[in-house]
Amino acid sequence: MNVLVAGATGRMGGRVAAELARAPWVQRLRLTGRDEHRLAQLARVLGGREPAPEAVPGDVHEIAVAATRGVDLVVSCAGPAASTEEPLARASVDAGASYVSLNDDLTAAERVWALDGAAVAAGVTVVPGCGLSPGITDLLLDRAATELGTLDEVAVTVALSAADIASPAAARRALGALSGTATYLSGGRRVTDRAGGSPHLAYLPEPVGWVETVKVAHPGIVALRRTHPEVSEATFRLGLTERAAMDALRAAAAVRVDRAPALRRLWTIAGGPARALLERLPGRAGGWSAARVDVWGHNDGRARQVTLGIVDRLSNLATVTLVACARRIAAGGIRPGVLGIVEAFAADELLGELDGRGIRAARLEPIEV
Amino acid sequence: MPTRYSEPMLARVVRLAGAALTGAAAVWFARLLAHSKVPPPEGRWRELRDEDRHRA
Repeated sequence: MNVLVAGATGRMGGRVAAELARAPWVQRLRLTGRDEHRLAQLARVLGGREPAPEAVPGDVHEIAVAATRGVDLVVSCAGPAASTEEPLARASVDAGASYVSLNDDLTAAERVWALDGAAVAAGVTVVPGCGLSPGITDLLLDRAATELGTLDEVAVTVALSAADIASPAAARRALGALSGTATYLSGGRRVTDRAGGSPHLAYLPEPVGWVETVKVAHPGIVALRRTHPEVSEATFRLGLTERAAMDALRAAAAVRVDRAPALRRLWTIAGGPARALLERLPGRAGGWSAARVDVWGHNDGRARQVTLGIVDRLSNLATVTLVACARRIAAGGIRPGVLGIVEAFAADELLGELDGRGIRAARLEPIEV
Repeated sequence: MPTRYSEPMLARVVRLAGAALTGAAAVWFARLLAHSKVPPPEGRWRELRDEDRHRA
């Protein structure tokens, strides 16, 4: 199978490219990224395979059509997703290639979901959001749902380490998540509110522990309404495990740094040194990222709550999941169209594969006194 | 000898802004220290086992 890795020069993209370069099911590997020098370096490092990876440098908007030509599967780690996801997905569908990505942007996800008809017509499978969240959190939700007959309410909480938003694209994405609108379900209806509000402490798998989180927009709401239309309440929350970095992010979002290009540039430039300082201040969790999914529902007429979580380095959580999804698409048998991760793949099998790679889900149980 | 009131306006504004920023940073740092004490664990995280799949 001929595979294209978009955004290969990024932190996640490099890891994904390395995994795919070792994968026996990948016949030809093509890499794209904005940074020509780093892309050439990556292609050299992964050059041990035959044929050697092909590097196509350039911005997604300029090279999407050319880069996807002759490819069977596009694996996208390009960011920020708000501007890269839809052009890449569209180019993939037009080129007759299946598509998986780490997309975590709601607006971009909705544009990709609109390609469903085109994907079915082209006979390709598109699965946006195969990282930590959306991705693993959807798998945990599906696992929790098997224990509950009827679902009423869902809460998805993600805590990232500040080190995970080190790249300019990730830093802008985090800022955008807290600056725009938060989308959630209330009374069965989709509701929007200002993102970054309703601060709430959430207890995530150790060593992350308690993290302050705020409401954000999340593409999981689209898949949730497809897979569990009975859910009437759903919230999506995000926090940084380093409290000082979270304060800085919230302050930057509150003064709408994302709206002024000069301030946005300053945020990107000053982000690196400032982050290094903020990570050393009190309230830090050592670079771990985690997610928690709370599901409330009914089983045999009794109200129950199931809480599942996961913790690891984000680069492991996101890239292992993305590559596992890519491999399943390559193996065939997945129906064409735009699908959520649990619509495309068996959640238990995927969680089992993550388990085999040392990424284990956990259940929150009450402490017996 | 210059008095407090003859200080140029710009210098005064800079000095006041500096004091305000230092004060805000001090309050923020105090809040960080205060919040570094977190509540006790909400529960115990236990790794999922295969039999969890069949829990009722």
